[in-house]
Amino acid sequence: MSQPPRAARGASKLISSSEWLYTRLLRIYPPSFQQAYASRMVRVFRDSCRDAVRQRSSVGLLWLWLQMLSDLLTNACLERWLVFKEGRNSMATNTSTRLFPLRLWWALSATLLAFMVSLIASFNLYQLEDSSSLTTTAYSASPLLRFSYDAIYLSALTAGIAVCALVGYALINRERLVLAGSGGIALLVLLGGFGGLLVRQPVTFLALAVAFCLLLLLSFLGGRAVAVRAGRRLSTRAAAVLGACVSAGILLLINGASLVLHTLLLNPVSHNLYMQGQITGTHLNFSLIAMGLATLTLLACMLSLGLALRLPARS
Amino acid sequence: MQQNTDDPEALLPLPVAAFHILLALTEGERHGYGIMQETARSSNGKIRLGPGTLYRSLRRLLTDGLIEEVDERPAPELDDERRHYYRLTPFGLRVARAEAQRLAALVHMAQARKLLPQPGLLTLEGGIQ
Repeated sequence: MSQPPRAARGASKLISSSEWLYTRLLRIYPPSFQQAYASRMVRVFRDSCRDAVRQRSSVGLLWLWLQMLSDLLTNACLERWLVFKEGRNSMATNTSTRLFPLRLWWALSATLLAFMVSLIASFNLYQLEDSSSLTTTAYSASPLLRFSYDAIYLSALTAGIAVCALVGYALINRERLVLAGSGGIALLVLLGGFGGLLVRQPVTFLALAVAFCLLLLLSFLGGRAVAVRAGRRLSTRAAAVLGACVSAGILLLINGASLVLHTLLLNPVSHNLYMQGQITGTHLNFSLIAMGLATLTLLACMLSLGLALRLPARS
Repeated sequence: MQQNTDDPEALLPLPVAAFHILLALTEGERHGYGIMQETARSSNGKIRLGPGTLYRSLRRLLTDGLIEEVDERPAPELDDERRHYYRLTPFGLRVARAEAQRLAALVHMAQARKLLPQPGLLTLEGGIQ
């Protein structure tokens, strides 16, 4: 006889925990939207939870959460974008405030483009080389190849985290939230990127993890220094975005340099191996195209960052 | 804010969520959750508005003057008096009608091009021909 009240208590606890979490998650909406609608949305969410639990118990609640998360993410992004656009429009009509200067837009776009090209080049290289006969044979011939390969992989992963932080700063003007989110993403990327080595080759994992953290630290410090300096001339958010662009730029520079080094080292080695009949083909064409494209976009990124760093003081 | 124009056509086509909200409000004033439930019921569960979509759409409809918030609150024993109720404005009703006519014209066009069956024609198997 004590079962129904216990079940009801459990359901009530589930609903109140869900409501608590949903209230916290609503913070990703812009403050103006939160102020106007957060309490109404929480009330609607609570009613939806009650209905879901009444109809399908905790499975219903799980299903509801999936719908709510998708609704939350989509609409928060749209709302943030709207606020961002309004800020940009007001900047265009009032140039003296220079909240988000045009040069910063260029830097932001060029950084994102360079990241996408580097990511495609790095992960295609990874797919081509990982576990291929070329990799094992060529890497045993030149340890520098292994080093440059790991550098490409690690810098691409860390650049991804820096870009996440960049998007975070652009959309959410809350430093602590962005830093905490980036830390969480870094942990996920570290474990997803090479976490498997922890069991098979713990020493290699440790070495890669240290290099991964050092790269992140280097880019973070570089970006932070720029953000502090830029904060004297730009708005807080613009300075944070510029700092994050520089963070990503540092990692993309390392990625580009590693890609060039790897291509230059790989081609003579793979050519010799090919001539000796130890491998059936080389990836010269792909490597050169990837290297060329990555270098070009990287140059554009560096140029735009340079221009953004020379922005005049806010009047 | 009231609508900028008196021409309902200027606001067409309406987003799906907005049109469903207007449809839900044609039968009378409702609160947010009531609109969500009515939308899910009338679309056989195919349209489920989340709180984000609902309140972003409501804000847009309020801004355009298609709906308005009801100042009177229900008696506490009838409903939660903290709830906000919405109702259609006369302009909102005109816009909903114009949108319905636009969609009906599309359906006629689809029927004329045999993409949709003519209304009321049944096959012997019981399906619509």
